Amino acid sequence: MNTVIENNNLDAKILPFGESAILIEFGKGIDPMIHGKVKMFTENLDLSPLPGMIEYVSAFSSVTIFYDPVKVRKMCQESPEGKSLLTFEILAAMVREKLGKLEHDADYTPRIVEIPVCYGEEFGPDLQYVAEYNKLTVDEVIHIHSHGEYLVYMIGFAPGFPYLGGMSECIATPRRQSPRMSIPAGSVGIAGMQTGVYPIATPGGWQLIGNTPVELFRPLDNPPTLLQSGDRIRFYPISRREYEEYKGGRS
Amino acid sequence: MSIKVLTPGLLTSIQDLGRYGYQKYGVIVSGGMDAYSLRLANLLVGNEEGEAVIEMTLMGPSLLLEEDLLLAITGGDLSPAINGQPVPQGRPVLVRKGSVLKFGALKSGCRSYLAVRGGFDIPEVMGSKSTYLRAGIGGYQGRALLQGDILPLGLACPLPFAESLVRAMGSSSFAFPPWYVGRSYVLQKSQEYRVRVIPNSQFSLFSPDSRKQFFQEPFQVTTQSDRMGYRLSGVSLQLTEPLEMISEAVALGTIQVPPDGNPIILMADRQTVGGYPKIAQVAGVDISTLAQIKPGSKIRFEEISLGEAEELYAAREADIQRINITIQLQLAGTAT
Amino acid sequence: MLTFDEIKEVIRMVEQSSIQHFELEQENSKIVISKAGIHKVQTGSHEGLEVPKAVWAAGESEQRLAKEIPDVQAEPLHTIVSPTVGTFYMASEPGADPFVKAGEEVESNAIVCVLEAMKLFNEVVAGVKGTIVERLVNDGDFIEYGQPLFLVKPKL
Repeated sequence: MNTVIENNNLDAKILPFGESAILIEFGKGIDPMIHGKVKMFTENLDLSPLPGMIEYVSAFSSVTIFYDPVKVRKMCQESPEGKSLLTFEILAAMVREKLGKLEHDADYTPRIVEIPVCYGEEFGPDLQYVAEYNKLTVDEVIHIHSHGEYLVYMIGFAPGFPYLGGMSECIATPRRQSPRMSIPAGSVGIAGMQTGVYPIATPGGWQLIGNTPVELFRPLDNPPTLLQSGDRIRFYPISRREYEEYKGGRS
Repeated sequence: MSIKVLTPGLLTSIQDLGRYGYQKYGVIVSGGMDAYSLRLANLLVGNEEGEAVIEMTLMGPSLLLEEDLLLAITGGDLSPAINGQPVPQGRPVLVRKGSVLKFGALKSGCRSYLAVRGGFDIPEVMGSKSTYLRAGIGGYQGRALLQGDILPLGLACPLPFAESLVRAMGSSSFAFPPWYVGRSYVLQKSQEYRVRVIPNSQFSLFSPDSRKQFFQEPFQVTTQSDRMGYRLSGVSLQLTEPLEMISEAVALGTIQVPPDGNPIILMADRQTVGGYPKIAQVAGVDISTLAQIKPGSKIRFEEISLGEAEELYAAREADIQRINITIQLQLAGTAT
Repeated sequence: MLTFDEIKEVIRMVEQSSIQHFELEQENSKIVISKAGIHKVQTGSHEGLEVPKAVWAAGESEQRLAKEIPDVQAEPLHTIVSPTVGTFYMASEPGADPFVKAGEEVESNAIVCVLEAMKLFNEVVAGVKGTIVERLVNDGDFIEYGQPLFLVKPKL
């Protein structure tokens, strides 16, 4: 026996979620450690999906797998005890087995994605406010925002919209009192302790500090989004001319 | 081969069974609200069950059929008529070129589905023809249908069955066979609709009163309900103690409860993740029922076990298999 | 997946139809029903059971296309026989009025009942103009192909 006790704590809570989904909770809270487990597990699911699996959605600290119960039952008919088990129980056992094997795996290597941002001007109508609110200059806000490294905890709310962690508290700013009816695609904003980028035009109450010429949602590509759960991103400032060149060069 | 939209109706869009595999990128599933009726409509014209169809809501469109067409209408009854004559639902109907298919008063249900043989010749986006209204992709130009739209139809080999209907049609503008899919699944008008649910693992976080009231009290489907979700009003459901929730995935039929205590049932156009506590999950087989319940109606939740929900799901799939076989049999033969 | 009884039912449905060859593919099985060959050998026995199916053309509800069933025995009463296998229902849905009652006069294109076979409902028409004399089966009965359903006194 190996005397070293492996304790990567891949222990997870496995819960039913209706008759067609199963929820795997790796912990509670927004924490890069917990999210690392989420990422490890989903990378494994990409390589070897569960029988009858339709797709999965990963979140801050959990993964939800959607499946077709009829297919699961069909694919698991061989097991003699399979008949009396719920498909949830069949899948839960498989998930547990997967997690057991995963404990010996190494951590994943995150992708680094750099996103150019034209800060201020008409792109960032709230940049001045964010500076004033935090008793900083506009340049300081830009410096702080573009020198952080952010973790994409999950994609949701809109296609390609990243829930980012890792923003400096020094530039945290509450949401606007009255939300805007429409925020243009590419807008970079701050809401409380969060920063994010809007892939498509939507209404919203975020403080807008800039805009990126990069398309975050590309429905005709696969994958259809620039960012994925587990990515690490950095913002870097560009001038208005660079912004327009980028936009022009693309079209 | 096309269909021209003369009047678009209230919310008429192209939908199939939805866009799967992209939720992890924040791309919603979309698809027909009443997937059961959508599948039946396709089977009735010999399509694959997941082909794109026209979904209409409460008030249907008026359509000019620019080609001889085999079509089928299922789901809620919006009084469909061809050139002014009522046309039956749940059957394949052969319609003569130049006819106008007009939907009228809502008689039952909420949403109706129109499938045409060969489906619609529109590009798939991320593996689906469903319209994703908010992102403006899929379907017909990523939006609900408008007056003057011309919907191109897909090609399909002609069925001998349809040819026999041509002979039967004579001088009239449409013809149909003497068989149909039972309407037992179609919602009968009721004071209160029963919706079967499985309690969520967060059910116990709700106060004992709320847990009781959830099953004892009726809830009304409000007019703020749409393809994204059914917003309910009734007793206000409360947690035992305030809770900091972290967003996680939601599912079709998830019943989440925002701080105001009014539950929301998430439907086809739901977001992929949500941060509200979840009290229960609607059984898969009752989603189609729910899709046919119109705003203003009352529903009452009934608890079932996970095992029961799974059995119901399997039984429904087996039913569809049977219907598929019998329809295939009918379509393989001739109608006369 | 189909049960053994359901497969038998499918075979019978193919038998009674004009279909010569029917293939059904499901996820991990395939059913092939072919009448090739049999058609030539058997010339007599099944022909007698040929029951016409009707097709409805819109706008002709008063003169729906239905062939008259040949009255083999030339008796004064006409027998409406089942064109298919299935469960007999006298009404379109539970609790609704029956399509026809004894003593009622019907047109030849009147729907007298529906037969449900594997979730599909088949409408059966009177085939002759006349008065319904008697219903020979009960609501919910499983009906064989060619089984007598109603007796009708034809009106000349």
